[in-house]
Amino acid sequence: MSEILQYGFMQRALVAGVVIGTVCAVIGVYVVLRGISFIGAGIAHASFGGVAIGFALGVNPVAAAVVFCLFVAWAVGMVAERGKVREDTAVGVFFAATMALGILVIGLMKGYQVDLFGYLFGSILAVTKADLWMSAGLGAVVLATVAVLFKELLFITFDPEMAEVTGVPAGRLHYVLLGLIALTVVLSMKVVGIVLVSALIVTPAAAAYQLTEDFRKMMALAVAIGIFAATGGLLLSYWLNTGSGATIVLLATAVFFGALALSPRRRRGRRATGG
Amino acid sequence: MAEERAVIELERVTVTYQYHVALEDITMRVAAGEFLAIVGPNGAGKTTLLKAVLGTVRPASGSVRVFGKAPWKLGGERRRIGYVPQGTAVDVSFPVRAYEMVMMGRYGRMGLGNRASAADKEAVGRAMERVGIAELAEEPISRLSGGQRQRAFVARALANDPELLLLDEPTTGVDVAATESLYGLLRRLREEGMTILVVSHDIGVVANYANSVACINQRMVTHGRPEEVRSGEVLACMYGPHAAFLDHGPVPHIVVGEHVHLDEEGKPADE
Repeated sequence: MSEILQYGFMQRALVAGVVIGTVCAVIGVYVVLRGISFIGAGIAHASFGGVAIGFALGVNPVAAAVVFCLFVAWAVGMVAERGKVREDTAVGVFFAATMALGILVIGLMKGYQVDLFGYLFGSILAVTKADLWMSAGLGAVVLATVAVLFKELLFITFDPEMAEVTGVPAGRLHYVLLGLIALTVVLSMKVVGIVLVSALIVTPAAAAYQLTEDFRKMMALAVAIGIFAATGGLLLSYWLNTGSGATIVLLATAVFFGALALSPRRRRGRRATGG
Repeated sequence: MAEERAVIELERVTVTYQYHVALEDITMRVAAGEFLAIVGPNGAGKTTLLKAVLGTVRPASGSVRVFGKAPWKLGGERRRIGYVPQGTAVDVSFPVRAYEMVMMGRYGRMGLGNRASAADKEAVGRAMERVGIAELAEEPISRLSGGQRQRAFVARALANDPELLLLDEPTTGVDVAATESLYGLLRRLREEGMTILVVSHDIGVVANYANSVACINQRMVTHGRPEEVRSGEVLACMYGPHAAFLDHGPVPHIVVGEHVHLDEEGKPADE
């Protein structure tokens, strides 16, 4: 145990794991309670288009992904808001289109496939010092925004109509939430991978939901599970020589099933119904 | 009546959604201190009428005035309106405690990034006292009974000290005792000076508590004091033109034309 912590790449990966586990879990609480998991998955796949464009233009692929994901997240929100298309339909369209765009761009250049594999499935070896600073910086932005807008984000997640009626700008805050999801995806993609990041957002929060009926406790539990899955998954992936993203996500999934088995909500045997 | 201060004034209001007309040519006036029940069949535009008063739906034609202004221009005065949406509109398994949910009613007033002040906490405590759920403050909303949860929604609306209270089907899925007790609460609030507008399809209960009834079915069918409103008109509005109320046996019952089916509670069943 102690000798692997001496490797620079492992130290960086573990610090990144703590940051990612925390931020994904915090955002995941809103995603799970609002029932917008599919948007998380859609934005994650869009980041592939952003990374590919970054490579093609010769700019930092992470910076390109930030811009691209924010654009896609808000575009989905706007298309859905116009009311012509349902939100999950809008996500379905953008999700495929941005992935296709990424594949097209990669096809036009040769020799970058190896790099891209790390982005798709996550790699602890890929985490550079610069990546770590990027993750920590974006993570700080996301957590600070949540801290400032904590009660408003809670309200629009629980009851957006009532929020709007009582003077909380629910419409604009929805875009803020979409933006936070986009940043969370980008800061996680190198370690967890584009394909799997939405699971790390959803699963710890879904597990925590099974264990408590208090919003703050749910968030604290989700963070604990997220950090456990991210750091534990990284260590396991090193020992078992498996992909880091897959190992992290499967560990989180195991916790989720454990929580489901222990759930007081399930034991009580009822999900209260409307009215 | 006409000299009393009007809280709500609707003048020939028509609301249309993409493919249909929800409300047509509604003219109505609600005076301060009135307890108005809006009844009508499913899909009659009752919720739309509430939303027009709230300002979340704008009329295609006609004018809506609340406290003398268009409701979407009320700004901070919007707080004078308390709103209790349909219980089915929110996820009741959401992990939030009753106290926090009632506090949400004041989030808009607190402003972005601010925490609850002593005044906010006091207002929330008072609102929960008023509806009789103070001792349930720490309960998650999923563990409240239907009636208790409905009271918590009323407390959330009261937390802003409104002068006008709008309630949308407040007794859906709530048992008879809790329904009577909720309407008793509304009557007390009215005695304290609150103007109340409640949407319901349960004319039997509402007529005992409201001091005015409006029956709508896209258009205004009838509007007046419960004892003045002709029961034939109300029945026709609720159940169709062929409905008749028969009171000759041990159980009064309603007979309706062929194409309306009633469920066990005597409401027209959903098609």
